[in-house]
Amino acid sequence: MGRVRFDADPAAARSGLGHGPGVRRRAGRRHHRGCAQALVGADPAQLAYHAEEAGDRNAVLRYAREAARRATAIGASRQAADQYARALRFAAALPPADRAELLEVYAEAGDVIGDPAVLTASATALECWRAAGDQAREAALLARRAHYLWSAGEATAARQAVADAMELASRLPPGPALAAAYTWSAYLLMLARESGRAVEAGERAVELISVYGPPQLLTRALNAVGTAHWLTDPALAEETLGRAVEAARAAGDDAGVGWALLNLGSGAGEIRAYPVAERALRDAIEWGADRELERVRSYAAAWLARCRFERGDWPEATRLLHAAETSHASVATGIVRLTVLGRLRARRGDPGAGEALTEAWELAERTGDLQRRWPAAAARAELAWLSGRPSAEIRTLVKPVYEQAVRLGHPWAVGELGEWLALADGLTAEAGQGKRGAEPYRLPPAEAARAWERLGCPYEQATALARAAEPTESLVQALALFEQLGARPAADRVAARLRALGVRPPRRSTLAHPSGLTAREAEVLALIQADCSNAEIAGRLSISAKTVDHHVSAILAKLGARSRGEAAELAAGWHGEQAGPR
Amino acid sequence: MPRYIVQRTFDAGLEIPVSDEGAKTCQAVVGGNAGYGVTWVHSYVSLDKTATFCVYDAPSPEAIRQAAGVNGLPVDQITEVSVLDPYFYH
Repeated sequence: MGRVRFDADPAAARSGLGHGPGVRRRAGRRHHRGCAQALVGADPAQLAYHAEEAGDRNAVLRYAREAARRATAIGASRQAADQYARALRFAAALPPADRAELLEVYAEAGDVIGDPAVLTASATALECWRAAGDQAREAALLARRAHYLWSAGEATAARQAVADAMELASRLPPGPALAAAYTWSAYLLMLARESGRAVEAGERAVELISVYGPPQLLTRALNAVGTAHWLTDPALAEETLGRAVEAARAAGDDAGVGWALLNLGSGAGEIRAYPVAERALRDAIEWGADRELERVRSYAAAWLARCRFERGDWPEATRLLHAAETSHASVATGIVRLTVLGRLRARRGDPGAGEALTEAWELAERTGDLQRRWPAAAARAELAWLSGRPSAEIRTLVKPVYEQAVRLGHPWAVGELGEWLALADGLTAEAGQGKRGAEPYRLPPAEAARAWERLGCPYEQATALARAAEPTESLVQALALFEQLGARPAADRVAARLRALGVRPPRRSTLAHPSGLTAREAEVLALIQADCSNAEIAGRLSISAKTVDHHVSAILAKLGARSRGEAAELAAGWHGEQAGPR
Repeated sequence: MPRYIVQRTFDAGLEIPVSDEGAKTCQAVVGGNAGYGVTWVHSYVSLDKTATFCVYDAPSPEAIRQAAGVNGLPVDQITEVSVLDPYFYH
């Protein structure tokens, strides 16, 4: 100890030892012990710091744990993890059961912020429980650790851990350990989309928790059951997840609230119930941001990016993808983010689509979970098709995941993958829906387009229109939709088909306004047409004259006009022509 | 940092005069790009001024599009490129 610190230390003044480097070097531990005494009744975090510097083991263990509890209570997850880590530095001589407790709470705190030390800490805790001979705590932790493993992308190890937990807990009389084993089994089954088995295990968990506790697990069990219901009974899913949120709130479990909101959002998103999904995901982002729950915040951002992407708001999806980029992101966040990014690039015709999707696919394959493999496979098929790759390649990309989708009975996965399979086999898209695809996929093109419009998915709507039997009109509509989205490859394909039919495609406009003026520039131009001077425009729009100046320069540049008068004339000429259907 | 060629179409023909006006327009574009880590290197303009081929250094194609959105510039196509110069083979 005896690190020299040159920052101002109020405790030093109070302890009467004075300031200055010379004083500090001599005082060392004595100094810090003095500080700790002088600060009795003060913030445990400060006391813990001084105790560590003084090498006072008992004081560290006491104050650091108190500081961590307080930090958790106010949602300062990072500080909680740091304080537990501090306590652990002095925990070597603790009896194994106490050390295991400390390691467990450290791992919990680390989990919410995505600390990679979670796995090693929980592994050490398991050893401690074994040394202490506490099989019930060992079993409960084995089960909890399964989810840490899953979050780290270790799906096989996760399933093994939960199986081990169940085996161990079943040998003991029923209690919290068995409740934990069923809870985390249910949770992993839900994540693998084994819905029936998840509900069964989850409901058993809820029963056990109501008798034996621990109450903190209730939110997780309800989360598993609720999420598993999305495919068969969305209303029940929403209600059960609502109960999961409440259970977490009642238990003061900030992370639990976050995860429940997340599964409410992502579950709804997976069945394209966008209003419910987006509301819950925005709540999850706000909740996660407020309480330093990095994992919750970043995963919710990635999922909201997916929803906004599917709804055609590609600029917002881009912003959200950026918000989802974070160090220590869970593997799941990475897969969702990369898949959406890859799809976005593919649909826009931008570089880097293949790289993003290949990485997404490799990560997804390692989890083996349908909910990860399906979007990545569909995205790769789409990229292959837009790039003109052979059908055999598309078939290889899609077939194995399609079979998994059919086995698990997931209508949206079956629908989307079935459509690609049919396309690869040269069949009509509906032909691939023999096995219970979701509604829009089972409909003939014109009806499908309307169904996609109701859901709010313009790209799929345009794709359906482009397949319709009345070529010219629906092709023109499809082209307009693709243009509005900025879907260059799809737009070019449709334009080529129109030309082949002898129809001249309407004039291209890559932005909503002719000649690519921004909304603000259009306002300024309208005022120029009304003969307003720069000063008048500035007044009307409540902006500075300098800003008006910039806008006018940009307008002249984009319109190819040499003067305001010329710009006004050009603008007057626009009302005569409209570029295609709106 | 990757380099990209950005193709743009200006239906009415892009007119940036070599004057204070033009300088202001260019400065505004540079300012808008800065927020996204995007650097406009230079552009080639077709003689009829309806098409431009802009050389950009940027962290990603998304950054280019976001900057273009702020600046109100159209984007037709983004291609990642590497430089091929006969001099390098000397």
